Amino acid sequence: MRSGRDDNQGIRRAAYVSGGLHLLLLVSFLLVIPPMARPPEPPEPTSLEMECTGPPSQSRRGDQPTTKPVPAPSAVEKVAPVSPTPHAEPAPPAKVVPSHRTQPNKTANVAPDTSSLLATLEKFRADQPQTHPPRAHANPDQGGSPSRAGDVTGQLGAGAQKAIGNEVRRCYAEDTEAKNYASFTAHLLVTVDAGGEARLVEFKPDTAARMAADPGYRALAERARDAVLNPTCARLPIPASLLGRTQQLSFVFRP
Amino acid sequence: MSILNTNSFGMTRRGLLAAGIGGSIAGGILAAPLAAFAQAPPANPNAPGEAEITVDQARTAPIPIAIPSFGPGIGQQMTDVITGDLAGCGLFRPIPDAASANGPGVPNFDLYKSLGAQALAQGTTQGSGASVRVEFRLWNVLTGQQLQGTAYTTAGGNWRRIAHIIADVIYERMLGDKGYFDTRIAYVARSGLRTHQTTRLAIMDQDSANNRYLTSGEWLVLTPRFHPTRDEIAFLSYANDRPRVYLFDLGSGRQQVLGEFAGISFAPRFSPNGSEVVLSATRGGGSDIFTIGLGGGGKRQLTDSGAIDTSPCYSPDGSQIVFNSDRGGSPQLYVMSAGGGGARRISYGSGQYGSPVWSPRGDLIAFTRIGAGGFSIGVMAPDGTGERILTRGFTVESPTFCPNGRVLGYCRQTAAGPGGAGFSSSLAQIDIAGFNERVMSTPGGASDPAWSPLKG
Repeated sequence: MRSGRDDNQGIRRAAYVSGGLHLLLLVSFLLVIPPMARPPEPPEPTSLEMECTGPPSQSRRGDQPTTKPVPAPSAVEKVAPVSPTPHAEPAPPAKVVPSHRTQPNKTANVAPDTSSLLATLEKFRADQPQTHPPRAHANPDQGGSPSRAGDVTGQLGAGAQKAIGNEVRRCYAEDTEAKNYASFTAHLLVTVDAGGEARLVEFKPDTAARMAADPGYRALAERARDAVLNPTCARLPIPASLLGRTQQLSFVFRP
Repeated sequence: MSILNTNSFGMTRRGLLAAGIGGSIAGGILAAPLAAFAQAPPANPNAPGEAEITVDQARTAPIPIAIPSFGPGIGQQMTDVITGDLAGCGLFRPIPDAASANGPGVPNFDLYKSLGAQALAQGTTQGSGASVRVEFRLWNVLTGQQLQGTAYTTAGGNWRRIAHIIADVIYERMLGDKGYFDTRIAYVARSGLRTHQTTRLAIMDQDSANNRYLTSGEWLVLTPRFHPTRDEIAFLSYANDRPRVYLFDLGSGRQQVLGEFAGISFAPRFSPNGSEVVLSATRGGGSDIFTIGLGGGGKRQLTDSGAIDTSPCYSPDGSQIVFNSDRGGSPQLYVMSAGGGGARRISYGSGQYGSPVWSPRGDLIAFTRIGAGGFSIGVMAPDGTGERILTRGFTVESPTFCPNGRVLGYCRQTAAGPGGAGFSSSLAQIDIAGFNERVMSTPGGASDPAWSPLKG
């Protein structure tokens, strides 16, 4: 039967042997592995010079104008194609030297498969259907959709409204013998730019609905729209206090 | 699209108009920014009644339209016809010397805006002879929207008709009412001395082109009337010195007597569906109004007043008839039901009224009025209200509406001096608003115009 003292001596001896072997392995590793070579320094980038030859109005800020004359393009010499001769020896095919940039083996599918790409996109779309309406809103104060600009008609005084109406009336022409003209009424929402010029006309829902149902009414309403967009009358006398941003104005056209 | 020969003119209007060329695609591309802009729902859809700027008292002004040449040869000829049609109706103002349409791409709208145009009719022609292809697009210059895109392929000989159809398309899209340029006018051609005139039934396009004579002039002919759907004309002929109403088939040239009456039959007019003809026939010392079924139908008497009842004309819905009668002592206008009975007088102005014609729109009745100052042509509502005179003259008579009811054609005659010197008889037309009065050109003297419906 072995005593506990013998067991301690065995463990200590094994620890010594193991430590020695690890130390020997470490020393030999440091001696055998060569030091890692440093990568070469990249070459200095070559400078690229550009000349701006466009008209001054196209030169960007900071561009230096050049006084160097732009060489005129050389005249292209038009050479008539040689007529094919029926007994001419066929020229040997040119030897194709493969480029290291091109793939040596042609792919089986040389034509781009756009339908496959579209199919893949459609699959992605189908996999991620939108299940709820978008929650984002236009922010006209931050340059969002102009159609979301506010209607400022109510902020105009009676005189301003009349002045604007008179301006548009100058260009308002209709076929006054058109059927149902006597009862014609159209409501339009006009988007005016920061300078006071009418840029866009939307027909209000009730007017749009009637236009879709009645070609005669549509023709009358479209001429009302054209009166607003006519370059002669599109710049509206909007009070200066309301200029400087996109506005919307409501119009009603009557006989 | 190929045009099938289905009638004497070798085309069908429906077939031609069905030839869209995908204009909506091009229009969608070209006008996409504006269209998307315009179709966005308004954020603040003011209900009517809220603050709005009122614009009223519109001027009556023609639409300025640019019509660049459709190309050389036939293209230029078509451009001239379209321009003539639109300018002639008085509702468009073609801009002369409009610039080229810049090829098939997007027109330079800024250029046309600077010319004052609000619409642009752009077209090209390809081929000649047996087959001509005409591509046509209509644009709103102010919005950049394409309003219409149509292609026509037909024989080169039909270029004039294609031009009229294109003008009709422009008219309808810009004004919301069908055009009337692809129509014809039947009339009585007159030649010779005032006292011994030769009359021939004649027909021409509404712009006076393609004039041809249908009868030889052996017998006096009067009052031609177009069938609403078939290529037939009813008219009064004194053939064999017996005045009767005849039916003339424009395709075959065949004529046949319409109904058998003991006396004289005259003043024919087709019913709106073309199944009947209403006319007058003398009876005793007066004349009564009858209907005759065209498909073997019988004769039916509608009036029996003992007076002279004549010049009957159906309302567009066929439910009523307006006619002329002296039953009240002088010739006046009356309206009765299409079955007869319930006649009520609608004209109460001074003088005598005659030759009433119901507008295809149904909202007006045109008439000839004879007063102290001579003849005049006017219109009134079917209930007799709102009478207004459109034109006056030594003799102005025989009004006829164009198919959309917008223009009246009529006959204008001047006074004759000794031996008939200075007498003239011609055709003219005027907008129902009373403007754009102009002469319709004919090779010689003319009277009794009758405007056709749109070609089938």
